[in-house]
Amino acid sequence: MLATLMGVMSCDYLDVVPNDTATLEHTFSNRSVMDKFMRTVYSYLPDPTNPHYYPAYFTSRDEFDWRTDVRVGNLPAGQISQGNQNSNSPYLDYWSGRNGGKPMYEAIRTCNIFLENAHIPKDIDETERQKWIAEVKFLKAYYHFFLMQLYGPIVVVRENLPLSASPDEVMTYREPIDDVVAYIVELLDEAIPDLPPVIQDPNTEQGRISQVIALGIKAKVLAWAASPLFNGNPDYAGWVDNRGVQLIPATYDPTKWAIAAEAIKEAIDVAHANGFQLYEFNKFSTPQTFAMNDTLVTMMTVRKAVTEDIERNTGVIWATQEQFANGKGGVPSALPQLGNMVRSLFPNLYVTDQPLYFNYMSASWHMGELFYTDNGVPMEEDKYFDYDNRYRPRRATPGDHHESYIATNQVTAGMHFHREPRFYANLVIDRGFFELASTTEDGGRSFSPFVQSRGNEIVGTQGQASYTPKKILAFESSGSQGVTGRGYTQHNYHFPLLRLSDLYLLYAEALNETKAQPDNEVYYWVDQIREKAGLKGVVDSWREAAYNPDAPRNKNDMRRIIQKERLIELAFEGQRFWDVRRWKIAGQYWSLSPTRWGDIGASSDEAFYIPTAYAPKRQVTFRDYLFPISIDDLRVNNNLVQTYGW
Amino acid sequence: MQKVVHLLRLLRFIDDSKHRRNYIALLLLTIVSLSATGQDLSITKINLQLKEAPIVNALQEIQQLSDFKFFMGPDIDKYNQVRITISKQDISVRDAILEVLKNTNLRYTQKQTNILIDEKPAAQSPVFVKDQTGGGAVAQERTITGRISDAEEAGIIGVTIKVIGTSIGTVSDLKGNFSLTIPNDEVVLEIKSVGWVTQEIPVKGLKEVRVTMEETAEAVEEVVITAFGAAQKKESLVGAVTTINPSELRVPSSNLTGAFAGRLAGVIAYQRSGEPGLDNADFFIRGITTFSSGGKRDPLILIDGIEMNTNDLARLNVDDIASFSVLKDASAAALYGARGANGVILVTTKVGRVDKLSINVRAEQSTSYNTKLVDLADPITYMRLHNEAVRTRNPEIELPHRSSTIYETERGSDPLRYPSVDWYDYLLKDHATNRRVNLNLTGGGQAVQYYLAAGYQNDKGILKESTENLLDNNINIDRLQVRSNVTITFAPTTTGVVRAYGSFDDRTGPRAGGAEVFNQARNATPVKFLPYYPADATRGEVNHILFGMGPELGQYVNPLARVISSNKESKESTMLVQLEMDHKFTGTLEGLSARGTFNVMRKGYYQLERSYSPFYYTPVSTVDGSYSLLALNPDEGTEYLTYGNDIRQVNASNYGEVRLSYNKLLNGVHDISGMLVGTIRNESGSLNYEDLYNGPSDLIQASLPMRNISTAGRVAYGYDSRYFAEFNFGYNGTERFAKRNRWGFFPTIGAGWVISNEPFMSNVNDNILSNLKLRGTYGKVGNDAIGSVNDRFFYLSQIDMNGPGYWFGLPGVGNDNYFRNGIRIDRYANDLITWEIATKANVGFEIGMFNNDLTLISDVFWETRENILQDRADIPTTIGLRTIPQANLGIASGQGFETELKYQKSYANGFWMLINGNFTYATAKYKAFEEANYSDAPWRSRIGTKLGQPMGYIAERLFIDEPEVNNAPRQEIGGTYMAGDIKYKDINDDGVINSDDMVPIGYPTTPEIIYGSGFTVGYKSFDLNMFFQGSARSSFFISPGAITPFINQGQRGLLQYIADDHWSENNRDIYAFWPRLSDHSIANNNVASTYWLQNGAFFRLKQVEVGYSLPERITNSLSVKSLRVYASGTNLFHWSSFKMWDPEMAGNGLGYPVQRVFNGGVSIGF
Repeated sequence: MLATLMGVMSCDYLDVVPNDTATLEHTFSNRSVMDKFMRTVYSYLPDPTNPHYYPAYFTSRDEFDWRTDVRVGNLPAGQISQGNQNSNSPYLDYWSGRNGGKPMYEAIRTCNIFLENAHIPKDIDETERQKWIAEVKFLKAYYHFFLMQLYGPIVVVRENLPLSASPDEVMTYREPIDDVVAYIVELLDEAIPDLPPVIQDPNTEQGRISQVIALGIKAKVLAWAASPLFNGNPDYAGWVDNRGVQLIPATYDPTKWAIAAEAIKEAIDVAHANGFQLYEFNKFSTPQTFAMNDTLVTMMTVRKAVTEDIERNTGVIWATQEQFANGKGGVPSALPQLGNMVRSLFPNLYVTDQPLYFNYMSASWHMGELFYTDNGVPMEEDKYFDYDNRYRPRRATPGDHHESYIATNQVTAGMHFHREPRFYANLVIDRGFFELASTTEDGGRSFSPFVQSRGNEIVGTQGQASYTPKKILAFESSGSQGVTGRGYTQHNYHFPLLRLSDLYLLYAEALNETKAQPDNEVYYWVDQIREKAGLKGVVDSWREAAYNPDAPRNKNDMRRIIQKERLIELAFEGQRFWDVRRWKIAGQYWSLSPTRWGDIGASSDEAFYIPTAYAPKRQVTFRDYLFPISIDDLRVNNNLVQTYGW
Repeated sequence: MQKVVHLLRLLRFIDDSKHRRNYIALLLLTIVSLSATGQDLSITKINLQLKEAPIVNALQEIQQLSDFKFFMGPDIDKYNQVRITISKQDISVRDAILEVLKNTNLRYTQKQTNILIDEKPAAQSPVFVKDQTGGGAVAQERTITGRISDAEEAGIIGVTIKVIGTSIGTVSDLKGNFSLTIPNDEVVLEIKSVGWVTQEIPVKGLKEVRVTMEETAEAVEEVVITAFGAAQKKESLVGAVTTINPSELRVPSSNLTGAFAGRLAGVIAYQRSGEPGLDNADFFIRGITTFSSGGKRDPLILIDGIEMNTNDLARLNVDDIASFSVLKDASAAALYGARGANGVILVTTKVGRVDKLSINVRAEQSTSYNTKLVDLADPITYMRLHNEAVRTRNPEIELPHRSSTIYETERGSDPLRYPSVDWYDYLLKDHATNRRVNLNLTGGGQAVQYYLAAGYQNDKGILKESTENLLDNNINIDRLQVRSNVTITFAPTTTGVVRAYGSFDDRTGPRAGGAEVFNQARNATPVKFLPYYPADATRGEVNHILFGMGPELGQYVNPLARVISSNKESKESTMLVQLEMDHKFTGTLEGLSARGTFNVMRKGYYQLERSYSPFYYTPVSTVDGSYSLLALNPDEGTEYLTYGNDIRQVNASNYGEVRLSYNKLLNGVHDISGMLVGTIRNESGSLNYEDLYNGPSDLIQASLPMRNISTAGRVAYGYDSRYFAEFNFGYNGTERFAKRNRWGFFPTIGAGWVISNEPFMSNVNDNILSNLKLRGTYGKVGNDAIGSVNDRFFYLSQIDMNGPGYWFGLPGVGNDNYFRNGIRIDRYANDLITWEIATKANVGFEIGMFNNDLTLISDVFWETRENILQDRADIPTTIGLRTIPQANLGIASGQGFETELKYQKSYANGFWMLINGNFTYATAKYKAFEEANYSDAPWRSRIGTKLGQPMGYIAERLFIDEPEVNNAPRQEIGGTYMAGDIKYKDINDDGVINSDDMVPIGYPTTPEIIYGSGFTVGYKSFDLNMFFQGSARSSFFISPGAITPFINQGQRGLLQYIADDHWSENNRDIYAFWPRLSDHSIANNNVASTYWLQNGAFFRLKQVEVGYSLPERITNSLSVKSLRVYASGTNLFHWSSFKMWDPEMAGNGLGYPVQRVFNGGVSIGF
């Protein structure tokens, strides 16, 4: 009796879920929710303002560096820079989304869900639908590309596997690098026709994908495919999976450079056609900069090529929408400031500054050696540059004509004299100026207090890090002054992901590889960059100042010149990490000892200006070029093969 | 019969009706109308069929049919020969009795449902009896009067008073009074009644005899409360049920759960924290046999039949508990079907009885101390070792403390510039004081009986109150419980109970909780600044505390400022009303009874936080005792309070139950009983208690009600008190699963054999073997509370429509418009998810010896838990699922045994004793578990390992030196490591230490063995109780990450253990307690490994209580009925191999310590 009663009642009584609970079908019921879903797809974009979890900054100590007394070395990127990467629980595991990595395969699945369902909404204009589909295809390609840059041959997910897929179906293989590249390019080619050439209204659409962006990324993908890491790399000759498929070709294929060159040229042409050109600073843009001399204007051109407001920056093709901010990267709550890269890089401006929030991280000391001399050639190749005495302290005199760079009558290292404008625009040096739109101490002295950054000059700290990457710290930022003023005002800007200069140099690189000998076509693209930096062309500079004046005429020397030009031009922009790996030359940089100027608390100039290694070298082998996959992932999918060497 | 027809019609109406929601109300109305019939003897009608029945049997038959209870005087024996034959339909009870007594000199007297049968008083005529003492004198008979009462002075009806050696006797009347004519002064009276201890009283000289009867222990245990509150004769019980005399659970604490460990056979219990309000013990019946994460593992708790949570159980007042049962095996819990897999705790509260008002008051005051506080090293050692920690890891870095600073600090000449702070001293007291008062009133008349109770507890934390502060920051909990259980007797066959209960908790305390205060005290630097500074010349006038801070705001934490600048206030209430109606059918349906229960419960919670923003100062110079302070945040500090984090939540539940039961003894040997129960339950609001504290969830699915419907039944048959068989089932529905999986059927069978009742045992003397019984059960029970509560609807996908989004456009005014949230899939639908099913078997035996003075109950049990929800393990990352789907894949098997032994004895000289002990062993292991392919590393497989057993590395020791580090297998655990760090064993010999070298280590983290034993002895007015408790076969980890000194910019305090025993370059002790010092976390050392594994076994003197009951002459003069004063102590000593903190806290040892309590109390009865 009771059983019957309960039985009858149960049907409705236990049905507590209302019909309008959100389900997967809701996510494509109309344009508005489809828009939201697209934001989800975008939200997986790796965040280049997240310094400890984006791989391009602190995974090595040759471009950026971190102070040992700061615990950022224990964060994932810092662990890699100390040689602690491992296959047990890899740091920055973008494969599975652990230890600081974003889950790229989850991102790809999300793209696929979008692509599977994008036909559903009825209230969307067909052109817009196609545009959105193209954007998501681009992102799907980019997520694959991001993985490819870290892992080389990867699993390609063309379509989502259903949850009910059998274990055999889900055990997918890493595909050979050429297939991966082909698929990414195929996706980009599908996307490009439906994308707008450029973003129409930056006020509402900045951050979305345009044709120029897609073409630029396609150019980079093909450049990767042609580069030494993936094009005939003998180190990986033995890397085969359990079917015997070789994942990275052991033989070099020069035609890949030709294909890349063509794609790069197309990207540059379309960019030009849509108004992109190399950035140049206009000193009449704000009242604070009217008084700048030409030297300062050149420096501003270098700095603002990165930090200029995006709507006025003609040289940035693609920039992140993310912003540098406190606490990024899950940094321990005690000092969330550590997560804010630009703040942590900010120098102590005044002797009375409290060091806590600033200057935890720095430009690597080795970056001081990278830049050219004022003759436009490397220090060690410049026959006029006193290379042997470059570490000796030297007093700045009016005769040096360095009044825009170094405070007169102050002593600093010899190598801080007679360098190219990009040296001074990229780095804050001891006794050099740090130009800011506003500084207030001493009754509003102009925007360039010179920086005193020796150990005993900074209150309560253990010595300032060697250099500060001035280039990526916006001119409009302001820092603290004195004990009580602890203010730091951040000027947000769109950190670039792809600049036109990048494509120029990439094109020069590709052309140099496709030609038997470099010619004017190669020099042209490099010289465009040098001109903006206030330097003469490659051929002229070498001829006038270098020990080896004919270097630019030699293909191999020219390759090194282009690479160096690229490291200089794109310094601190999160590009070096990718480039030195692509060129297979990371080992020589990553194994440099972390170095700083001089002893803590050095009392004399001589004692301070001694390059001092302060942490152990990292042992680098070929396996460090690509990240390992966690052994747990290999256990679940027995068809996956570990990254070679791990 | 009419009534049944009515009920059937009603039920059919409900079936047809579209208005099902109203059915409970309707049903209740009907029950009320049903029970309005039959007020007294003349109204209750029975059908009486008697043929040649002896008088006693006739009266018993009437008793069976009518629910009136008959008490026989001894005179009735005179009428043994009388035989009665009646055949009457619809005869009133009164007429039936008169008919039975027709031909005798007997009479009846009624008091409520009690009917006393005795001889009509004859006209007194003096009888001369020969004086047996000789001497020729003839002693004259005289009449002696007296009163028989229970311990609470209530008269006892129907007690036989008999002159020993004669047939002279009488029974006590309704008020317990009697009068008896005795032949002479030398006689001895025997006072006897079932359920009471028989007494012998020499009359000599007494005019009036006053006898206080003691309940026999057997009487209490004769009946066991089983599922749905059904009282079952212990003899007939085939399931495994632990019952306990509620008074054994009385501990000097406001938390009942703290008393469970070692007192309940079959219950694994332990208490991990001593923080008032958060000190619930964890308890599991027969251990944990599931590994579904987030699912329910602890027992179903039913208080008066209503599902309640652990906190409700914790608030129960022992004085209010009538019965406490633990249903352990499948058979006992079967009726709860899908909810009973983890066992059931069943508590009923007291109801009133017909008696004059009786008042009991109990008041206690106790003082509690930390059992053990983890020691911190002194500030000088702290600074020295901080320097060592920095230098030993990296010689390039400047030392944090200059030697001059250490020297000055040690001298203590200038505490402002060289502070040395013991944070414990500023934050903690050495003891806390708690109070408890209970009051209950019980009594009642014929129609209404009541039990009214109120309890008040005030618990304070052990945190120091600051007098200068704006807020009271210590934990302070005021709790009030009010209970009213009123029984209404509508008719002898129909009773109703109205229960009302309210519980009100007011709590204030530190914002982050008490445990956090202990953490902060350990996490602050002892040498950088003073907790607060005295006002200096320029700051003398400020109206706030000058909290100390290092030179940089935000660099350090000042725990005092953190703790006292905020507090949290919360109020929580539970209110319920419960109606019960019970009707016993008569006539042809005799033996059948029906009961309905309806309950409405509301829980409310609100919380808010008040805080101010502390002003921080740092001293900038010190000259001759004068100093100046620099304000670090003059603009941010506040001198006033603000409030926030305001949470208000309500939780509502309704419950309805209809029960039909049937009991009949046929031909004196066939005992048939059956029961059918239907229940329906709805709960909405915040869905579990955790949520109350974690704040609301915005998921629509969390807002949907939890519902259960069940039909359960039992059929039992007993033959001649020797053989028993039982079949139980639960048929349950839940809202959690897809339609086709919603209903589950859970049957069990059981049988019992009372060997001692066999004829062939009749020659065994009861004084030696009084009881011997074997019993066994087998069956299935389920668990629907699998997975996390927010994952209830596995068959639906869960979509977060406000997931992480992305913005387009340019930063600037109004551009938030271009941000949109994204859509995130939090769960993929799986409509195959269903119950967890436990198949349980139980075999037990019971032995009673020496007239049941000694009892021994032992049970052995096995369990297989199937359909355990677990993560799928075969889904590669590259599929890209955001969350790993779960499925009912796991199987676990558990087994164990438990035993309880009790011996009690009282002696004529007033000495009595009770010794008891129990022991529980429960273990479980993985039988099926989906995991990665570990064919090349079988030690990583979970299958065959114990549930709750940690996986970890095997630590060999610490590295001796760098060459050893370089030559040993590379430890890819994380971070850099060097000499003095932990060296792990390379299990698979591949030259690399990684997760493939992890193995199961130690015991499970939940103890496998819990045992307890104690005794109570009494002599006249004194009593003494001691109770020991132990726990064995458990492991826990010291969490190295939680105690690493000097981390967080050199703030974390240094434990004395680490200061005393660590690896250092000068003392390369490779087995030191702590590895090489460091001022940052060393990931290599922080992983789970045998280095940090500790044995959780302990044995403790849990409780000692000494009591003294005032003798009657004193209580009489105070006009109270009884008065007992007592003193007790809890957690007095423990023995364990682990010394750092109280081992019962296990891995939680850095939290709020378990408390040692000294308590004094008084209990008064009026």
